[in-house]
Order: sequence, then C-alpha cells, then structure tokens
Amino acid sequence: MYSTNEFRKGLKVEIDGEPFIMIDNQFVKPGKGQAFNRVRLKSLVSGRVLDRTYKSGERIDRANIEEFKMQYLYNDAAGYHFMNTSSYEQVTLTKEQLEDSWQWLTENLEVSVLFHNGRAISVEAPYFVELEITYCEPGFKGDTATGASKPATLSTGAVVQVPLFVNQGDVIRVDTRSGEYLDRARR
Amino acid sequence: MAASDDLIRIRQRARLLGALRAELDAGGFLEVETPALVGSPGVDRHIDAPSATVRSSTGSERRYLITSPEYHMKRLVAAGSGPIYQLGKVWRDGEAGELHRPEFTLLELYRPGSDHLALMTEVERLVREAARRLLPEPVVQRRGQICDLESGFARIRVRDAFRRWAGVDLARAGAEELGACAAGLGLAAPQRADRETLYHLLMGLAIEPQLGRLRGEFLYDYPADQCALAQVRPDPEFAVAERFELYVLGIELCNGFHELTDAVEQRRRIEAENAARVALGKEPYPVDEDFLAALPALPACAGMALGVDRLALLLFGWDTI
Repeated sequence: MYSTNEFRKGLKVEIDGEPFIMIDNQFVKPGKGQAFNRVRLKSLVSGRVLDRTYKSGERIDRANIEEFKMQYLYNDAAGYHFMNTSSYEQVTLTKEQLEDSWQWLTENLEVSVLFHNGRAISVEAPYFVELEITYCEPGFKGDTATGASKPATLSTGAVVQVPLFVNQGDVIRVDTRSGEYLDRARR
Repeated sequence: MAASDDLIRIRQRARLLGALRAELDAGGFLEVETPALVGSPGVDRHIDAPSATVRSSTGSERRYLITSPEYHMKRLVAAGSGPIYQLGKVWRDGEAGELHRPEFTLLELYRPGSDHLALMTEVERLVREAARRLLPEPVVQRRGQICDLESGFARIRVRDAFRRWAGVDLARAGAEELGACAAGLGLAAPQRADRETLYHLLMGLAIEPQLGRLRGEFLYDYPADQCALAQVRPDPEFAVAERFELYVLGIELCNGFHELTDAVEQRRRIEAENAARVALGKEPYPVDEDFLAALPALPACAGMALGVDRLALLLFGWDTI
C-alpha cells in the first residue's frame, strides 16, 4: 500500500479493484489543522477522472500494473488482437478498451499493452505513426473562408485535419497523442 | 533549479531578513535566540517534531527539534524581556508540498500589553513596510492574481467566513451538515470524516483560497476548540479563541494569538492534545514544566508566528518555497 507521504504524479493505485494513475497531488494543511492530500486520479481502464481527498497517513492499495511490448495483428468482431513476439501469447481488447488508440493501429505495429492483475486493459500506440490517406477532397478549391485545412480519412478509419496541399494516397505522419497531422512521410 | 536561481533566491532572502529586522528593531523589539533542540516540544495533535539522540555528560537523551520557539520565548517575556522576536528555523515532520517543508523559517514575536486585535494592526504594518522596502510597489502577484498590500487589510471572523463561502453556521452545524456542505461544494471528503476533519477540509479547500485576494486579509475569532494557545472568549452561542491568521492570495502567512496566561488551563490543553495524539496513534510529548511554571508571571500579551519562506515566495514571485 502507499501512504499519503508517498503520493506523487504517476503513481499507479487501485481503488475498489479499479486501477488508477495519479495525475495530480496537492498537500493541504490549514493553519494548525489536519493535513490532507487532494489527488486527481485517472482510471487506467475507463479513463474517467476522480477527485479524492485523503487524510495524512491514510493508505491506498498499489495497482499491480505491468507493461509489455506487443504487436498489433488484426481486428474482427471479437476485437483487436495483439501478440507478444517473444512468447507468442495473444490478447484481445475491445474498441472501447482501446479508447482512441484504435485509430493508429496498422498491421505489425509495435505498441505497449498495459496489464492489470494479468488482464490487458489498455494500449498505448507509439508517439508518431505513418498512415496512408484513403480519402480526402482535392486541395485548393479557392475558398479561403474554410481555413487552411481539410479532413482526411486514413487507412485505419481515423479522420484527421490535413493541409490543403496534401492528397489522397499520400502517407502522412500523425502525432498520436494529439491526433494532429505532422508532415508527409519521407519516401 | 539552476545554481544562478539559487543565488538570486539567497540574495532575496537576505534582503527580506534585513528588512524585517530593520522594521522590528525600529518597533522596539529585541532579537533573541532560544534553543532549537529541546526536551519538550510544542504539543499539538497535528504537528510532529523530529527528534535526535543527544549525548551529554549525564548520558544519552532524546531531544526534539522545535516546531516553534513559543515556550522558551514566553519564558523570556515572563522574566521581563519586553517585546521580543526571533528569526529562526523550525521543524515539522511529514509536511511537504508547494507551501510546506519539513524545515522552514519562522519569524515569531511577542508584545506584552497587546491583544490579538492590536497585534493585527502591527502585523499589517510590518508586512506592508517590508513590501515597501523590498519592491518598487507593495503589490504581489501569484498565478495571475494580484494583491495590493498598500490597501488596508480586510478582517473577517471565522464564523462569517464559513457563512459566506461555505454557507454554514459553525455555531449550529454538526458533522452531518458540514459533510453535506463539503459534498455540495464538490469536495470529496476522506472516509470516516468527523466534525473536526470536515471543519479543516472546508477551511483548507473552501475558505482559505478565497482569502487575501486583491488585499491582505485577516481571519480571526476562531472556534473555541481551535484555540491552541490563545485566550478563549466565552459566549453562549459561539465561544471564540482570540486567534488570527493573515492571508495573502489564499496563502496563510501568519498565526497570532492573544496569549493564554492561565497555567491551569494551559496544562489542561497540553494534556488534552497529548491524549488526542495517543488516540491518533502518535507518541505523546513530555510536558514542559519550566514553561508552565513561568506562565503565572507572563503578562497579558499577544504573539504571532509568520512563515518567512512564504512571505519571500509572495514578495519575490517564487513558485514554491
């Protein structure tokens, strides 16, 4: 268990069986009063954010979290399938469990899979991925009022905003954390 | 932090200490130094003193680092020192955060013949004069908020502050009402929170952040059960402790009292705090008999302790202390 004096950002804890990561920790002690830790927690399973207050000295359970590098294989009705390239062990996660990261998965992409108590709970894609634009309108319609970008659909089904000079068939680099276009991939 | 930032900070601290000393000396205070390693630290259920084993000719003894120089300074006032101040380090185990360190610097002073209301006026002057000496304009800012120390400081009673920012009357509210209030303000309370816990939760998260915006603000007349070493003014509806705290931009800068001089009541409070420590699973501290013996000679006086590091943070715009 972790005691309040060990609290810090990035700590992985468990509340009622659900794993959370501590994204903020504030030490509050009103004059001559009790000390509290006011923390903000993000669920590693659902992504929901919780605010909690703990009295100084209270303890929370540690979350048993492990991270493994795995390769994305394919997806079907059962979900998204990943394989550990050394043990050949496979896991399946649903689209809901993947939150936003389904948008960046291409065959054989290496990702980090988070396990809680041995069960896969989420996936983190690499920071940058290269994806082909499978559909977008041609550029420069001469309509400056629409701004300097247009939506483009990528091979995974994700939609990102791209500059007008980018065309269907181009392979682009995307920042997976922000979902934003970076540049065209070097060929 | 880069080494050059450290050098800037130590120069700023030196200027602050110099400014405080100049103001205090001009105000007729005598600077004193009292022991930092003592046999009996201040007894408070929420404050823990680090300890050390000290060897002397009589053997090995457990000594504590002071959490405040209060007991020794009051002995000096009782012995006829007149107004005194001390600038020195104090220690509080387990306190760490943006505004807390286990070791920090306190300015503690006592003025015989004063009470908490008069001392508030004196502290206001001290802080304003220090700001005037150290800054082009006595205005401080932090995280986008500004506080003008030139303007007269506001004063609000604790009961009124709770009515205004928590919507509860402390004279009537029990644990359940305070709990509902906290929940209504979106403040998650710890599990199994009793009335005292909820009071501190509301104070720390709902009241304090509202104080000292735009101008310095004193919070005073605390509930009698939060009296620490202050006199209590009885009242059928809401007994109050003659205690005050100064806030600037939501940061607590100092804690002051119209000091208790009744040795019997003081002993009772120390024993109650020790009992509360034991109930919280903490060790009780030895009672300072020298302090209690000196108390009958203590003249009516007011005292206060100010966090010098926090004052520096506000004046010089530091992010943390």
